[in-house]
Amino acid sequence: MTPLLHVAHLRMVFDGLVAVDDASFDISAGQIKALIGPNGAGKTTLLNVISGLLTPTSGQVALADKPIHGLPPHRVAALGIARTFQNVELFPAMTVLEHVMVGRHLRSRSGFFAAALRLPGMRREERQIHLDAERYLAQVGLSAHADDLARDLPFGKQRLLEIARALATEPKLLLLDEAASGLSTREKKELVNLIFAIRDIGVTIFLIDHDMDLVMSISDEVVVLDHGEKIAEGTPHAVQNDDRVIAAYLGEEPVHA
Amino acid sequence: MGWISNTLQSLISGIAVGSTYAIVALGFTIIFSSTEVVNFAQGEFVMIGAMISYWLTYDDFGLRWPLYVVVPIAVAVSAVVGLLLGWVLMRPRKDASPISLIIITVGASVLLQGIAGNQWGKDAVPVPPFTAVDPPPLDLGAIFHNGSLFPVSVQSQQLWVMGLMVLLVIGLTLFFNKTMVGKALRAVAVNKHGARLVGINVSRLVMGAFALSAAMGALAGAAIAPISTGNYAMGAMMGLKGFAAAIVGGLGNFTGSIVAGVLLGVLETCGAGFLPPEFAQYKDAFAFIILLLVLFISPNGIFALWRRKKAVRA
Ligand SMILES: Nc1ncnc2c1ncn2[C@@H]1O[C@H](COP(=O)(O)OP(=O)(O)O)[C@@H](O)[C@H]1O
Ligand SMILES: [Mg+2]
Repeated sequence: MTPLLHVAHLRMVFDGLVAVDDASFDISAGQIKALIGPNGAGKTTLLNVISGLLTPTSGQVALADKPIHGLPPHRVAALGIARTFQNVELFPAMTVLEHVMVGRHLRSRSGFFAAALRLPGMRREERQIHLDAERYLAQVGLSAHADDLARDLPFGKQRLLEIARALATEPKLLLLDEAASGLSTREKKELVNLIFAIRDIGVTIFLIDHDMDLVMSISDEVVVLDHGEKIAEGTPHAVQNDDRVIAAYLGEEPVHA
Repeated sequence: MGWISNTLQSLISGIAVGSTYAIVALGFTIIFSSTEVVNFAQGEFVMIGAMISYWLTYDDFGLRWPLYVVVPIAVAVSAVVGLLLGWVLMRPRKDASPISLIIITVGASVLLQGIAGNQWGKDAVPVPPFTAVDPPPLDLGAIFHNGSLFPVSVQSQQLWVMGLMVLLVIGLTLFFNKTMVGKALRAVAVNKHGARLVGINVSRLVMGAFALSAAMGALAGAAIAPISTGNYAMGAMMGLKGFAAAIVGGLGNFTGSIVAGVLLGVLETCGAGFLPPEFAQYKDAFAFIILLLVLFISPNGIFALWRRKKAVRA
């Protein structure tokens, strides 16, 4: 079976600094896969390449056999990859509901001029978008905050909003960059439930996190990056007992938290 | 009591002219907030609206089309020019600095002015008003008093300009808040990264924003030219005044642009009324004196000053 995402010999160099070095791995459909590694290992850079924010120096990324490296981010999003950011990237002065509606933009047909002229078909579509957006908010448990401004939400809820906005684009693959960092224990538990729920509706998940308990307990497979290089890949159990992984994490933080 | 009449009269002309400054300022605001580019060709859209209205309504070219056909054509032509400019600006690599893009807009402005000068000559040209009949002189005094205290005559075209500005503001407010594309544009304005990642094609949206601001400018031009006359070079002054209004209102601030535009028109017209006649030619400098004063006192616009005061109180 072809993997949902195929990454081959990926290399990303910034002015001489090799951030990702010849990384190759696959993500199968329906999996929860994790990407771990010490700070500065190149994890975010890898996600930036996959989502089209960066064009790789060399190497390939393919989504269901279709090459996507070098495509602009909006095309990658249209093909079915959504993501959240390590530092949430919201639209501060827009409401929570509007965020998710903007996420639906991709799946709506109305163009600029139809909107400028307020064509009748548009209004119907906008009502539909409104309803869809409410559904996504309910899914992450933010319905009560629909009319709040994003900047007024507590941090944990901003993270959930980013996930709702990403889901609204109807992704096949959801990339989560440190979605659990900065969350309380209770919020983390809710996030884990949400991740399982998202997986259960058929969305494949590729997540970065530093909380080893969380990563090891929810992932089907783990990729370990160090200095841009893939040093291990496999089940949580195999990775935790890998010598190179243990060495990479020495002096950083213990693999067993 | 002649001075009251005169002041009211200046106030009305000032609001009318100021409405066009406000529309141009809104054009600057829309482009700046979605691209960080100050579009120095913004005033040329006003010129295009005015000159095409003149071109298609006057006899010299055998055309005598009614305005309800001509104005939409002028607006559409301007929108296409705006779209092209947006397209050109979106061509360079993503990391092109705003400064180099701004220089492109200056070039576009010079080019458009050159084409217009070639096509329509250097003289001022007449543009017909939207409606031929002016309302009867309004007498505000008669409301309180049985006499004719402060007679003020309002041209119907002045009412058109003010009305159009109000409609445009309502339309834009609905557009940015109620439509998906409007929301997407707001998203692009605050966070391009986030917008791209949810699948928004930023360049296409920015081209649309250029078309929109160009259409608005042309409408303002077609509406003000019957009062001010049209001229191939009018875009430069319109652009500078609209730019002054956009800065005074706090660049990127929607409400600020509108208020500052109208205020600028009023101050300029009333100021000219009080100046001795030999200084009348300095009327155009007014906008820039105000601009300089505001930049000295509050570099982020008059509303920033007000917000700071409020923050201190709170
Ligand atoms: N846009 C960029 N330009 C230059 N260097 C970058 C850029 N993005 C990341 N880097 C560098 O690449 C390395 C990997 O960073 P990153 O991918 O953020 O690591 P991680 O997410 O694993 O902590 C770091 O040394 C970082 O400074
Ligand atoms: Mg990172």
